[in-house]
Amino acid sequence: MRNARSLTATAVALLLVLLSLVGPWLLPYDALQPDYANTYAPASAAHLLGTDALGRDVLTRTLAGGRTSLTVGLLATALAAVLGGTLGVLSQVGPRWLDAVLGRAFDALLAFPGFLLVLLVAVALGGGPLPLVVAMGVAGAPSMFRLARGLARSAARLAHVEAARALGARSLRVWVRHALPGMLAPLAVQAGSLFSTFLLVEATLSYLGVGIALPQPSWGNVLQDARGLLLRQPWAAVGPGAVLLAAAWSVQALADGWQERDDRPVFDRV
Amino acid sequence: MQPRVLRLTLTFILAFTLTAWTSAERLTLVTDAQPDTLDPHVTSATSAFQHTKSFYDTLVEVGRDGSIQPLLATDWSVSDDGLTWRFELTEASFHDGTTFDASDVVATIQRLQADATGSPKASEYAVIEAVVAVGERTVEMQLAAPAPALLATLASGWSAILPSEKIASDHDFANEPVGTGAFTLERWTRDSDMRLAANPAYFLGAPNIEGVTVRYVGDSALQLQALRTGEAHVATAIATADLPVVEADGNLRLVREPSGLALVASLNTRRPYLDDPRVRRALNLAVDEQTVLNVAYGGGTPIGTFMEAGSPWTPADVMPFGQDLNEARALLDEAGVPDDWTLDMALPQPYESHITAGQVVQDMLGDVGIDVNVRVVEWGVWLSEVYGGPRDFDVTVIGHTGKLDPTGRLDGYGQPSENYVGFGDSDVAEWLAEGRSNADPEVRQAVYGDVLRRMHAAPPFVYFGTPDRTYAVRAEVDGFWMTPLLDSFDFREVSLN
Amino acid sequence: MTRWLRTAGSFGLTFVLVMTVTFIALEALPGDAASLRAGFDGGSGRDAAVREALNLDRPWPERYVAWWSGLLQGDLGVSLREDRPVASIVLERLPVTAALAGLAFVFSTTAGVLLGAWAAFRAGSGIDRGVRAFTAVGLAMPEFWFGFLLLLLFAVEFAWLPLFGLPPGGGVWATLQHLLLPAVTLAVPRAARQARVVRALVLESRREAWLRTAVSKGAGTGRLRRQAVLAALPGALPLLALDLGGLLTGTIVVEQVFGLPGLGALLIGGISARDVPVVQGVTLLAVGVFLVVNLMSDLLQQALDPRLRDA
Repeated sequence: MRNARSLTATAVALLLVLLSLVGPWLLPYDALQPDYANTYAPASAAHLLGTDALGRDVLTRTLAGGRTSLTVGLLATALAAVLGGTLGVLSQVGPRWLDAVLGRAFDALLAFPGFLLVLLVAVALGGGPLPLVVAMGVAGAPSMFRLARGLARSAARLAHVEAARALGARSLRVWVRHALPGMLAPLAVQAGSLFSTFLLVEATLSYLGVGIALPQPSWGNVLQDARGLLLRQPWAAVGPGAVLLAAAWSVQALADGWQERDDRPVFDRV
Repeated sequence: MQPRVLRLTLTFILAFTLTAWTSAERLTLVTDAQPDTLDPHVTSATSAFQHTKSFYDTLVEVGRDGSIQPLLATDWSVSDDGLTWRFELTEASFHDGTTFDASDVVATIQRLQADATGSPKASEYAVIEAVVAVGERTVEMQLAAPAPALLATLASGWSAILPSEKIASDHDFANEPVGTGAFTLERWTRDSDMRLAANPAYFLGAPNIEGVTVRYVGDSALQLQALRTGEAHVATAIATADLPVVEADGNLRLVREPSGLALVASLNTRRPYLDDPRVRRALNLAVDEQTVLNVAYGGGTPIGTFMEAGSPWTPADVMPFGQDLNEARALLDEAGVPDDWTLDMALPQPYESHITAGQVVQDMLGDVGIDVNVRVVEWGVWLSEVYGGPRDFDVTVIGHTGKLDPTGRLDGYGQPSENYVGFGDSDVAEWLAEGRSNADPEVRQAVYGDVLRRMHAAPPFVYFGTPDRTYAVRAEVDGFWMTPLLDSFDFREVSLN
Repeated sequence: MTRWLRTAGSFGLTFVLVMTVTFIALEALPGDAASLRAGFDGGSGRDAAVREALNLDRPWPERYVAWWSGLLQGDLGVSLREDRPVASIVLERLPVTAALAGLAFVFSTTAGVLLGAWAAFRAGSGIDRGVRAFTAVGLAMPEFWFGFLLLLLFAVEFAWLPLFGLPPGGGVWATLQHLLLPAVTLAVPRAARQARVVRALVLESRREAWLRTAVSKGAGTGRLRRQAVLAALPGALPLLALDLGGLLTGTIVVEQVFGLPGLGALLIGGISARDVPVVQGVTLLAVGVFLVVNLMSDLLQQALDPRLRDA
């Protein structure tokens, strides 16, 4: 059962990535090319999800939007992981005051209602892909920091790390060789969880008009567009949303799968 | 509970609440834009005037045929030199019970002129040198120069008459309107709805309905749904795609009439190549204005100069540009426009139709080899950086609201520094000055014709056209109308059968 | 007591930080309330006068200090858009959001705890699998899109429920109807998260020694289950608090989807109108509630769970 889920999740994730990469070429339409004679077309064999106000194929835009959304989500996750992970390890390797300062700063960030933080930072930076990456990366960093710090602290007490240190190995080398490998799996699980959340956050911000701006499609702004078509052309809303749901689910399910296999203490994403 | 029982119960509940909403005495109107303020002197938003019209009255108003009609002023006369205007006033009272008289007109004009008020149209009242209460019901305005557009100014929403006592006490008109209007404000919940109550003491007779509920719903599909279920009586935004649905529904009546808007893609004529009138004509020829109107604005009538379609001021020889790609390419070549020319297009959010239109223009300019970078900016940014401030744009898309007199639309286009597109020269400035102060209708017709011809020959805009204002009302509604050019709601004669 | 003080201290720090970040974020935005009020098509050069009237021509550090000194005197300032005190605007909007958040919290907690406990007692069964599938999908659900689906289904297709907004005429029953779909939209992802945590906690508490002892002594199943759930609940408190505290910001999107005039709509409108005092006011309330609820859950958890008290 567990394997079946992981297998499904892997298949779904791969399919979505593949479709986002090559899908726009497979379909005969351009995500940006209007077709004025064919606006608000309902779902049909030619347009599986119908067309939008400019006559553009919604499926093509959804797939092209996946490219933007997945890239932004991935980059934000990487930023959060690198920022939180590095600082988390540093807080244990470095001097004691660094730990105190970083701990206090990230605690404060963690107490900030996350969505509000992302919203404000994204708005202040002016919207668009890069500001979104920065905003989500910063908002996601505290949870990575907390996890990395905890892992680093227990790793420092592990026998083989202490032994290596006792044998006179230089401390950074010890960390990289002996402690880091054990930390990677839980960090990856947490990162997977963040990625899934970031996909939803990007969509929500773009829906609110502070994320990715038109005409460049993303899952969020394709859905924002669809809001206006909701009653006339429901497929334009149902389709992209289902794709987004599948993406967020598959990434989360993969993360859960690793976690269970890893059988480490629960680090829930809350 | 059985599913059937559940469904029945819910249907019952729904039916119950529906009847509660559409009580026969209240009109419910759904519209997309809420006012920014209810102080008529400090706003320039059509959505604000749509509401203030019900709370306040002006000395004169626009009738259904677009002509200027008496309202608070029953009669007026102008001296031979055109410098003294005398208005006879009607008997009316304000919502706070005070009587309307000449002193209120004096206080209102003075408030409009005062720097402290910060009225966007203070300049239109600058020509009035003095306002004098000659008697309780007679007021006289002395002008510095003849001003043929004065009546139009006094008929516009800006000139709403406020009570002098409340002006003196610095009353908060923005949130608590007090006027002589046919309705009073019951409650305004921003982002949701506004409730108006009929004013039984209205000087033209109390309205037939008990009140009006205006609900703000951005989504045209939701507006239509509300109209069909009877949740609303009037829906002001009907999308082209929904026209067949409305026409097929026997309970609904579709109204399509021209609005007062001039929709344009504005060109920053200070920028390289855009400073060349040939290039600007080429852009006009590259764009198929009818398609833009159909796709983005739900249909409309193309225009060829900076005046709404059907305006008597537009000279007969000025026609829409139409689309001619070859001619456009030839003009661009002639002007030496390079192949890699890229335009920066700033589009204002949240105005979805302008954003859609911008993307259509982007696509059409691509056909004559011009690349366009689209950038969507928030309305606040648009106002301070495109329309004002650094005026950082090559192209933008916007609609200019209707005005009762060409002065209102065209003043400011004589001096490049006074308008955001950087248009104007000494000829245009001279014509505009003449039109502003010459009382002879024929002279005015001629000089404004010259201005509009120049704005066609050296266009600072890519002209789209005037959209239809398309709204639908339920069959039981009688007497609802919107003022020509100003597009305000008039609820005074509404009755529900 | 020291622990409590330290927590309160760090919350205070967070609060100052949040308000500062919010202020700076808004200052960093291009455009200001003055140009928005001056508007379009209304003559040029007017924004300078408005800017002066609104004190926006003062440097931002000065306005920042003025905001704090106002706050210390209990004054949230005046809205730049509405010319009314921020406190009264926020208080007007609060009931909508509070009712929505309250309703959503009741829904999500009821569903979350029941589903979580149910799945735990039938661990490995079809029911468990079903609940786990629900939590997995619920967690991945784009909230606003779920709102679209509910709207399409219940307000359009079946037309059982109203489409948008609040009933202009008021009334408790009509208001509840208008809030039902938005509340369900908010509740589902949160119920999923809670069910997941409650399931894990109940599974854990079933394994604990005292329960096994009770079983060996022959206590009844029903009572045992109740005991197991009750023992597990304190562990779920932080999550519940997080959800309750976060609902105030969670409503932002849902209010947008359903056209509700609550604090979320006020915040979004305030941001686009560059209405700094209003955004500060809403943020203050959101963060305040968030922090206080978390603090209280901390205390409550200590009081309920003897193990934490010992530590």
